[in-house]
Amino acid sequence: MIDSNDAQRKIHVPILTRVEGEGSLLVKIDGNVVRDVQLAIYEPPRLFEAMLRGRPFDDVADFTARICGICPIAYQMTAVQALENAMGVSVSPEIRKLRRLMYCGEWIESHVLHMHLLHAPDFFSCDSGIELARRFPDEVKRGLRMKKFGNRLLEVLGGRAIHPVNLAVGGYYRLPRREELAALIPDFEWALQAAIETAKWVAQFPFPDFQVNYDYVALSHPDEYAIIDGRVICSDGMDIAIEDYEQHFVEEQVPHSTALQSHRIPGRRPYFVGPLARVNLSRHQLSPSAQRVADEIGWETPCHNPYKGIVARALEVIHAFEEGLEILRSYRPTGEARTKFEVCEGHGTSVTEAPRGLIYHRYHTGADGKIIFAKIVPPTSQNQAQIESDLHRMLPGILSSEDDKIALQCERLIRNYDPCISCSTHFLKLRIERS
Amino acid sequence: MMNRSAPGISENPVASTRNLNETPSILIVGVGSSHGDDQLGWLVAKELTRRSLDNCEVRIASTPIELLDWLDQCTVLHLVDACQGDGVPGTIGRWNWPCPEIQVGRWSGTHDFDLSGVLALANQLDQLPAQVVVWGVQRGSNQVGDLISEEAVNWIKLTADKIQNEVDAAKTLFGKEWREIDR
Repeated sequence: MIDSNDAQRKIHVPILTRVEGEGSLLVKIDGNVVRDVQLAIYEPPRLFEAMLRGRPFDDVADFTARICGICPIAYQMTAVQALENAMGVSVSPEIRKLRRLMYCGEWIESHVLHMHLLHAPDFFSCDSGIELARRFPDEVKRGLRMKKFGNRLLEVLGGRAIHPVNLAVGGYYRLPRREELAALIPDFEWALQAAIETAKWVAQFPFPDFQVNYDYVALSHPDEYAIIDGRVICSDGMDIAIEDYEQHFVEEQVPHSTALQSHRIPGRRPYFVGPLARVNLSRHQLSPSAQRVADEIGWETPCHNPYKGIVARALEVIHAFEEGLEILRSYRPTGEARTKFEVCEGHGTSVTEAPRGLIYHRYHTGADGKIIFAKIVPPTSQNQAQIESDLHRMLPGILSSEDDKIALQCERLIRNYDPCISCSTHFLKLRIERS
Repeated sequence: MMNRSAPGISENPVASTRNLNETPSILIVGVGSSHGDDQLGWLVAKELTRRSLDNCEVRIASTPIELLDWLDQCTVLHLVDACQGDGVPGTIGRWNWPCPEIQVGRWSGTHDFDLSGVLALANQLDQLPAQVVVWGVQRGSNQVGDLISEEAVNWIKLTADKIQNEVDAAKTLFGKEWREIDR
């Protein structure tokens, strides 16, 4: 809806489509100057951290899984690892490998869904995944089949694909049988090839020329492409232990949003988390096929074009299928499903790489195992300030366009980040005020 | 360490009445949530699971997009969901999709892919079975955290009866064709 008068123009786009959840965007323009950009999340705070207080530690994985239907593993995994750190629990290498496999399943289903139904339509001026499916039926079918195999893996490892229930502090409630995982191997073999073809397809998309030298922040691990543990590093050289996260990053309340926004400290600098950050920082640790495809498509590291995040996602899908395949082939259930441990008071933190980027949890457990304090920093909260900064940077170049075209360009830029607004506190409405 | 029985895997939401290695012919999916009368889709699916209908696979879904993983080789799809309309609560609607009553709604985030949008996408990709039947039960209460309303409990059996009657009638009326499909 566009309201105009001589003094001021207001544009309302009632729903910013193809993002996860609901929020709004306000752009204030004074002549040719962008005065303010506010990514506002007006969903009521979901208060998960407060809900967890006083509850037994074993409830946390089930509660945090409900934060998001798309990336429940990220929340569960980060939570159980933080609680394990709080209570001094170590898990076996076999369990750790199963957890990486589980995370691969989530990357596959989340990345493939975003790429094909939410993001790819932008590059072909399609309004929806249905329209994209009309133009590229084989590619979309291929994508949905890959997603299905990611979901299947989560069903086997987690008991179900949506809000899985099998992950526990200390390991799993039940280890999968070898044949359950082995049955997935033929599908993963097909899917690895499909993921390679998909990466080559998305690499040919027409990308806008938009370059920003971001502060990329991601996990780093000396031996592998970091997913579930490691150190937090930044493209500017920062290299910190997970326990020191809050000394370098701060969540702040902003008046226009019910979600907190994260900045680096000192200096309140925005930063960039997600697949593009991960690939830029750890490309050399991607799986062999992912690295080979990156070379073949001429992927330059670092890549500073956020629109090419879809290519980074595609490379990670290759990685997830290839690493997943390796684990599926080598899996032999050995040892206890769950490490035995004594409940105790403690403080613990964990960082993992959710599909959308780095996620941080911290817990304080009491001697009775009940949660005294919980802190959860989702990836979208961390990217919000960077999204606003990107919009500030992009808008001056398109101010002469009509308001509906500006709105569309803003939506496209925001979708690069695959924001999960539901996680961070749902619609994104856009309002442009011109004076 | 606190004890907890192994959940989930043995309680997989897949409520199948057939050998999973067999090819399903009829897929019945209850769509809904755990809140108020929005549970109707799930509860009808569970009721049909208890009746062990031959050659039927019964599933529950929290979001319609889950359907896309389950359409392989099904020849008839029944979808049951609570709906909000102008009718009297408890009214049971039946539509053969596509139909004007079920329009493609907004296409938003994956949290919001509505049933009609998912069906339209599946249709675009030639992944829908030849027959898609949508059952909608006009709901009453739907507040987050509510239990299902007392009156809605009665609608579960009625809706399940209607779906079972249709499945049984199809087998009887088109038995020859059905066997051919089975092969």
